[in-house]
Amino acid sequence: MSARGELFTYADAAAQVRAALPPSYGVTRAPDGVIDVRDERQKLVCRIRVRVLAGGSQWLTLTPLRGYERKCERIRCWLERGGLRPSWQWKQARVPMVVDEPANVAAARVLQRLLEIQQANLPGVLVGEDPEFLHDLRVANRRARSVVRQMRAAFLPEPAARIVAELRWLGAQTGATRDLEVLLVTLDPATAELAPVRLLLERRLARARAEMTVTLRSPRAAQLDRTLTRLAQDAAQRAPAAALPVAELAAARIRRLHRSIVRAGGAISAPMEPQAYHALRKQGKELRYLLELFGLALFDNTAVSELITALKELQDVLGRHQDCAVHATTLRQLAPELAAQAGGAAALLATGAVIARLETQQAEAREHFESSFNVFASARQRKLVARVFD
Amino acid sequence: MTNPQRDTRVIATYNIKGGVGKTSAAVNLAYLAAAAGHQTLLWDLDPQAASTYLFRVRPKVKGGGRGLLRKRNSARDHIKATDHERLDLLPADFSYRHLDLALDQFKKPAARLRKVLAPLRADYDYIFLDCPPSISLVSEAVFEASDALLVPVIPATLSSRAYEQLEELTRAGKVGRRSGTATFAFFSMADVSRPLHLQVMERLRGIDQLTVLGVAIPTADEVELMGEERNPVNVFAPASAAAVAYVALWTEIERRLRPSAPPAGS
Ligand SMILES: Nc1ncnc2c1ncn2[C@@H]1O[C@H](COP(=O)(O)OP(=O)(O)O)[C@@H](O)[C@H]1O
Ligand SMILES: [Mg+2]
Repeated sequence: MSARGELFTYADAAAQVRAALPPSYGVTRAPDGVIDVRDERQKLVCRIRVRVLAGGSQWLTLTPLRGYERKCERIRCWLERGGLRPSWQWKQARVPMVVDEPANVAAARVLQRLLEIQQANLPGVLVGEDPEFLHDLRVANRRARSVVRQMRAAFLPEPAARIVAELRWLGAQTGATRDLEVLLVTLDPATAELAPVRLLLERRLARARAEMTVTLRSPRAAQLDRTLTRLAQDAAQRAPAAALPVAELAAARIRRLHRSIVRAGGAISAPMEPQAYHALRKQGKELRYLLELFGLALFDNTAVSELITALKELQDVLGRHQDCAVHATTLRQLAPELAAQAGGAAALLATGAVIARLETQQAEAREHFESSFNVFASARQRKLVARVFD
Repeated sequence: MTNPQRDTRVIATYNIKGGVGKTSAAVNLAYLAAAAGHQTLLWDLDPQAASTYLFRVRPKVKGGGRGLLRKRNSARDHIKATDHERLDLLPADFSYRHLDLALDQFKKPAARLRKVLAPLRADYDYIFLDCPPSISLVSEAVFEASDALLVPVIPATLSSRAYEQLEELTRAGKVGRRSGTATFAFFSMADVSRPLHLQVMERLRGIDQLTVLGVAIPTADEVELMGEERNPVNVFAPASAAAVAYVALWTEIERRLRPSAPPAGS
């Protein structure tokens, strides 16, 4: 089990674990922030690593010893029963809502949840060991912005605009780090000639991460959670369309976005500008968030899932296209610096090969675009949208 | 079938007699092998489950010995990590008392254990077999599967007779049939203050056909205490004479099994 762990807010992890488990389990503190859990025969069955001690919260990772996976699952259950929150709760952005609930109330609840997730991942990002914290933070950040933009009729314009600005600021601080982390993973570590490239990228990543950490520890960042929460409360009050049932507003936005993407994609004639794909992808993301956060909660689940599946397919293609473009650009920018390095010539050649591969992949994505777009824009899907979000 | 990067050695602690120090040796030596950085597995073949107990593991294998022998790769699913890094255990099970009957159902019963161990060679540098005290189809299968038999001998007349039985067995060609199976005897629970022990040790060392290792394990409270501590001696009494003797014994065994390898710790 590659457990990701739990984030919770208790002062002493070992004491909490001991309190959560039945007395037949032995809990002892081992060096290096590890907690050992033993069963009734005093056999070590599970190691818990305490990862983060920042902002009063701790992130626990459970690692079972071989052959004790089921016991470790039971321990996990006890911990959850004892009040520790499992990691999926920090990914799960959906909140319950009812169809005729006022739009501002429901949308504010979704926004609050996303801000909570963003905040929960911040300590993990600052520690910087696991890229997944940053990924989850960025997803929550984009989703939150999207909710404010798409459901804007439910929010007061002035505070809403400030929320988006604050969120965009936070998102912008983390982009470079994320891009470099992803690019480094895609470079084959077995190719020796690429070692100088990796070195340069790792140096850049270290710099980007250092800059990011400084901003994320700045007073503005420290205030961010409180600022956003206050703004979210302000924004949700007395907006023009606040009393509109949430289902009505969400349905209108989904219909509109869907139509707009169908139109934009249909107008695409190959060869197209990369920007057009990028714009399409951004719209696709907005639609996906609406479908996931409001569609699944309020409408026919089977139908919405089918829409999401087709959209996901399209987004994958567009995402690959965009990633290749970003990575190729970054690698091209390295060339002058790379040429000056030891082994630079060989590295340049190898980088050229990587860029060529990225361009091939990009071309492939462009070829796949049409078929996945045709599914997304098919009569069946359009009828589904019309029926469900009527 | 085997991982070319690993040159696995299978070592069985064996003696027809019980209570001579087979389990104590298997547990301590396996621990030392793992501590030196080797991926190590100990298979507790004795239904009495003494080594399983010492590693605090429940003596239970779902499907029993029969299941282990029958299904390919089944052994892997029953392996438990011990509390010690790199040291895994394949636990004992009560059903092992009928292991010879289970073996007998195969066409080549004596080759069966080697077959079961084959896929594990990719994962382990050393595989220890802690054997029950008997002479049966199980021991035959153990001989076939092992690179080395490690025979603890208490240097008192009575039990050296047990070793003489093994000697006969060797001569009968049963043990060393598969070429390359080495037999190492070592003195266990030796008490050098007793003239009888010294006498027996000297006599046995004088037998040419017999490989007696230089290191003897002394009688020591710490070895007995393993039952209470449920840990290898090197974990709870690393400075004791017994712990030091096991380290020396392991060094000697490893040197004999891998003559070209650098000494442990380097
Ligand atoms: N060197 C020793 N000094 C003192 N007691 C020992 C020593 N070796 C083994 N014993 C004890 O003798 C008993 C039998 O040893 P064990 O290793 O289980 O033998 P076997 O596996 O051959 O039956 C155990 O109680 C063990 O603690
Ligand atoms: Mg034994």
